[in-house]
Amino acid sequence: MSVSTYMNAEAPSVELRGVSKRFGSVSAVDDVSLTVRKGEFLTLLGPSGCGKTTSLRIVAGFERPSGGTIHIDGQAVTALPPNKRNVNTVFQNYALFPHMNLAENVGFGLRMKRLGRADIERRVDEAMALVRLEGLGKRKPTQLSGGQQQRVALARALVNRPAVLLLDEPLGALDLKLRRAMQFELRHLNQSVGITFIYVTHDQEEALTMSDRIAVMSGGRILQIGTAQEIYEAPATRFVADFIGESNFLEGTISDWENGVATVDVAGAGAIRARCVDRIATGIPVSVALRPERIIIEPSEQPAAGVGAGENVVRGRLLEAVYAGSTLQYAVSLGDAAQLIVRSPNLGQAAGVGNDVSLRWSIADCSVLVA
Amino acid sequence: MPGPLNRRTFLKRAAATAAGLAAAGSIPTGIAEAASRATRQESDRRNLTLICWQGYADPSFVRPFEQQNNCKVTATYAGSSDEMVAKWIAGHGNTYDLVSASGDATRRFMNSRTLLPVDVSKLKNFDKLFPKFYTPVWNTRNGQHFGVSFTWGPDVLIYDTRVFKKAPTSWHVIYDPAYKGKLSTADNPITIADVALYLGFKDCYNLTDAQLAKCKAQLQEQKPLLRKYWGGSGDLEDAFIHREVVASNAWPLMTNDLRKAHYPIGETIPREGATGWADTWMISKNSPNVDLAMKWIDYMIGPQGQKGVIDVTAYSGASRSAIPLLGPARVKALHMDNLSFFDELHMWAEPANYAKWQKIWNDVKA
Amino acid sequence: MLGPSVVWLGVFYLVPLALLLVQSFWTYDSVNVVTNQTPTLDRYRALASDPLYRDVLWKTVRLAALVTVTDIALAFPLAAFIAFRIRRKSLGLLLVIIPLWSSYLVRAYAWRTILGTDGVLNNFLVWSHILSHPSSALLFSNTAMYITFTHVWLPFMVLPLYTALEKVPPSLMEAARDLGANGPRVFRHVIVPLVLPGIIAGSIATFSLTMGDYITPGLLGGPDSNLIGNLIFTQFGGTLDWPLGSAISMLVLAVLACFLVLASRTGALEAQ
Repeated sequence: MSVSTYMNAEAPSVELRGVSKRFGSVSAVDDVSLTVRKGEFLTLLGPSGCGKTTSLRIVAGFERPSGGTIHIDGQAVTALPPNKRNVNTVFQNYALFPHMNLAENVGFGLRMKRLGRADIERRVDEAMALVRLEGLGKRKPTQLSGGQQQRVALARALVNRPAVLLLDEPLGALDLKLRRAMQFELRHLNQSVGITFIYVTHDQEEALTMSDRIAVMSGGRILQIGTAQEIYEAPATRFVADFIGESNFLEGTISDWENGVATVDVAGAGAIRARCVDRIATGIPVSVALRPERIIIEPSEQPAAGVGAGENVVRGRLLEAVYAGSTLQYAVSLGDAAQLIVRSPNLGQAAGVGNDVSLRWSIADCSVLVA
Repeated sequence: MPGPLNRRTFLKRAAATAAGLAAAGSIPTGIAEAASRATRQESDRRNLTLICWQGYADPSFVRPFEQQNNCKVTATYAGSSDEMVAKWIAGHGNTYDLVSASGDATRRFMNSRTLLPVDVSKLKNFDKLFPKFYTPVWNTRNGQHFGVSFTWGPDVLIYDTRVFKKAPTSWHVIYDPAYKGKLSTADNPITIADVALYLGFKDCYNLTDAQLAKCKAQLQEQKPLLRKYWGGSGDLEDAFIHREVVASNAWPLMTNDLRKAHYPIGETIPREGATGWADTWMISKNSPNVDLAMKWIDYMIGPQGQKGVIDVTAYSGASRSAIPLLGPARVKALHMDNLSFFDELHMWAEPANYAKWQKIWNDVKA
Repeated sequence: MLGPSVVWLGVFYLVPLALLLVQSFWTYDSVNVVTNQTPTLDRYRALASDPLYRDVLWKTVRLAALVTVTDIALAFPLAAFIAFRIRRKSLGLLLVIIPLWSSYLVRAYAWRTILGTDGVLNNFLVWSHILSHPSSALLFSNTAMYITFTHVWLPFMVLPLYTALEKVPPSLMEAARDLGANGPRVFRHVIVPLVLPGIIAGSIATFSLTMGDYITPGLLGGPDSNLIGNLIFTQFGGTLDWPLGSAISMLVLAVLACFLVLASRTGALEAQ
């Protein structure tokens, strides 16, 4: 029975309120609150041990939270066992039943719901077609490739038309090309079927390409939730900035703040202006986060063309130039006190190592992080 | 006529497979013995091996013999004549030096051609035997001695004196439904002779098929009344001590042991009469210790051996050697003063149709 | 390197069985105490004509089946507990195996003491007023045999069952629950099919061990408790009719072979 038919249209698909889980003295999940919209593709992203899988298992019902509540489609499910929740999981190792063939695997959930034989057959065929595995119903899981097994696991979950689909690092065992293809397929499925997806991964590129929103986790807590762009462009903490993409960090202290722009004294670079939403008192030590690809590098002899009021300019010495095919990566030292990594598209230019160079970037492209 | 088969190989392998597939440790001792005896040789300190009834190798009289002859005596106890025959024949007479054969088995032993005729002139105590035991039919053939008898006794009725205030006068008690679930009887086909006596067939070892059928029916009637069949003296004594059983047929050995344990046991011979037995030491023709075996026989019919075995088993001795040592009261109690009691017993003899007896026994027990 | 194992199997298993088979076609002359080696079906005819052997065989098969089923029921919770609920699994297994270190006879005698009229169990039942006087049905009966067999063979059921349960990935059980199965249904649809080989292995052990046993009936059985093992033993031990004993043994082997065929039909004997 689908809870969604009685769903309050206003209620979020999944809601975690203050959920925590302790194993002994260790807090695997620490006061996590999260709201997932219907049909959204939300990714829990973080390094291993950050609590993302535990959080997922709490939503599935495999772990009882030590504190907090879980709601699915507006209904409190904290006390419900997994078999009573309108949620299905795609496991990391697929967990296909080896003693059943594909059709029996996929139809298992429907059998548990005691649907009629004909109904089960029809829906199993539908689900197999959805993941493009038609006609393989009689095969056993051991006779399939990794990618095929993964799709069977997907079909087995989706055939039940759950309110939420939970995916625990399902693409980890696949090779790169297959992984890319499956990412695309999953995204497509999410959009066409309209089921909420909660996805767990440690791969930030995967998260960035597939998700509607990303929740970055570390140490059992959610550090930041936002769209890929929000997370990337405006990381809330140093950890997020470091975990997603690459980032430069310039250490300094606040010397001024006005209208969302702070001025930071950075040794070796001088006064750097950076985006800073909240006011910070003068003298506080901060980091300025700056993406390598947002920096424009020029030989310092060149006239500073187009340097506007909205830009930072610093001078430095080119330490290292790495040829990376489509990009060029430079390491520039700023007055021997700081260093910046710069990534430029390969347009055929060359900069000589040891030369003086000037770097500039827009103020909006760097932000102040307190910790 | 086909010769006897070499059983040793079969015993080792076939019986092991038939008896159980698991390593539960239930390999019959016979195999272990056969395997170890297969290459038995004379060693510096000689080892005399016996297979016998319980009580016949008690340390109290075995130790002095060992010391006197600088040897070791190893004994295996068997609970029935069938068991002794089986173990002896399986080893083709190689497993043991001596067997204490009862009258219901001696014929099989003699027929198996594994016995050494005994030169009784070499036994210095031979003439001390009661004359009855010089050339008894159960161990002498055509004038040749195939062994020497040393003990004899009755199969008695023993009972718990708390339950039977007076001694029962009839064997009926062990067929009486009033004592259902508290009776026992010997697990031995020769017990059919006791049943025959109870039913009034005086020639209890020569039973016609009709008489055998009646005995079988009686046994089948008795079976639901039994707590269990006893396989050896320890088995029955255990049952009495744990108050599982109140009456059974038995040997004086059990009475003796239970009295030593201060159990209120009584012993009697009911009016229908009793069967009896005389045990003969027989020597294997393949024994490497023949002279030691002869010394053993001489010892057991001599004063020390006779006194020893009588003390342990309360059986009657076949020899007069120990009479001075026992004292008149015991001599009288053991009927060793005039042996008329011996004539009253229906001594075990091997029936001609013994195979039928075994079949009946197995059928009843199944 | 199949060679040595085939030789081992051949010498210690197939050759003795072949010898038994050959012997079953001979006859025994009780008068002269010799075996007549002329091949004949006489012993098999004796088997077929006498209902004794059929009855006892059937009695034994029934008991073996009952013991097997009981052991499965007892072993499952125990093996599952060790596999899933405790951390020191090797300790749990050790406790199951330790009884095997003591002799089988010791354990059988222990049951004799426990089940006797003045034994621990009866004393308890009378003391707790469950019975007014001790029950004599506990010892020297088919019940006593059933209890003893069930207890003594239990480790042989627990071990293969534990091994099979251990191999079941926990994620499979989670997946089943995730898909809507409650505890019993997880058991029925996922656990049982996957541990079936373990159940079969344990069953083969308990079934054949009971089929071949003659010691427990002697120690703990009543007058009515002879099993087929006792019949074989009597032929080899008392009656000396070894051909008949061999013929009965062949009969028992035939029954066990049927059991194995049935077991293989379930596919449980195939390697995973």
